[in-house]
Amino acid sequence: MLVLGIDTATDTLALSLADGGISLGTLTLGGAKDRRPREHAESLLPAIDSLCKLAGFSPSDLDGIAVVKGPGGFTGIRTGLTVAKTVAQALDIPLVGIPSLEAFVHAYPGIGLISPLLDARREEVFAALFRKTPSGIETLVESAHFSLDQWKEALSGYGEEILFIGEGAVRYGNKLAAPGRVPLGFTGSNLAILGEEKLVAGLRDDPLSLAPDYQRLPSMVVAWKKKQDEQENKDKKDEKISP
Amino acid sequence: MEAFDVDLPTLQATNRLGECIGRFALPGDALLLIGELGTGKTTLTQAVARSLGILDKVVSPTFTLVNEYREHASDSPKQFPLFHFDLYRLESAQTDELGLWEYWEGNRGLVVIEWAERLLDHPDDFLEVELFHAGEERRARLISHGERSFAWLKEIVSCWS
Repeated sequence: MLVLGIDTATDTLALSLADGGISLGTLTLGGAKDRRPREHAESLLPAIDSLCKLAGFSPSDLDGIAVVKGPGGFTGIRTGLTVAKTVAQALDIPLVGIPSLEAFVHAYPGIGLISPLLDARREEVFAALFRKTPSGIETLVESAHFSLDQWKEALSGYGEEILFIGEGAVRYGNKLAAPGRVPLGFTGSNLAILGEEKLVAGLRDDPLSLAPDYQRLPSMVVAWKKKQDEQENKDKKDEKISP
Repeated sequence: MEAFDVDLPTLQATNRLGECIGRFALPGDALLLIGELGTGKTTLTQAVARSLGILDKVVSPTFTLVNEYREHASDSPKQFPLFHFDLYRLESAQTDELGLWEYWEGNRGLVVIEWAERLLDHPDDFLEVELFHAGEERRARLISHGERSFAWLKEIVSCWS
């Protein structure tokens, strides 16, 4: 089953083609600072076209599509999902959405306790913990949004070396690394192989309803302007009270 | 935080204010527009766009949420993009799902946001422009929030005066 994998969840744009568990080609762009996720909107379609051409296929040869559905960059995820959903509908082929951190751990060639990290800004991360062995991947902590302190705490009970991978590891690895832990940056994913496994196992997402999985904590804060006005009113009141 | 009030009795005045704002804008700047319907937010944005040398006609992205303008007149001294947002049809909670920080933290262009009072998050440094009706006229209050926007505001004031 010829599957195209699309990963636009981070600053890196990663495309992959696989058939029968064998990688037929990958194309990876970016990762540089000035290449923000939203730029994927301009590169994604030409990149898909180039990869298919170079690998000797036409997009109409595709039998399925796998796409990273988040968490990650909001604009990038929307770009990837829109293209994946549109191509799946246009070609009438199955589609599967894959969580970012699962895609990362699958792509990482090592084994052991692995924590992929994505930067969620302001000392926060999207994180998960997996045990990867030659026979498979076990999820120990599901992907969620944590502060660095919360994630450090969540990992404190594991007496083994934990490998941090992903863009968040580059930024925050040093802050998380305790003795026995190795910060290690790694991006990109061989998504097509994982996607093909899922599609062959019968997993499907509806191209109309598949939505981004941002995994942001529900925000409890009020709009900044309201907050500011309330503060000003409070200041005014304070002025009146003071002699 | 510094504030500057301007009267905008005519369309020309609004255009001139937009021209001053745009002339001193730098990539990475954020302009947050606040004001009821019909106070001139889009008119102001159009004037800012013209002073950046943007060729396309600027229309409010009420349904698309964002319009990105990247084509400039070749003789324009400014060649950075304008990212124009309109949050009118969103609830505050929904604005958090846009990932707007990816725009204002990128340092690549000028970010202009209409209905910015709906934002939950905001840039570290930004120029706020409140537009309101004052009788038959319109008025604007420019407020700087941070060092960069204070420098920007000073340039706008001297351009205006």
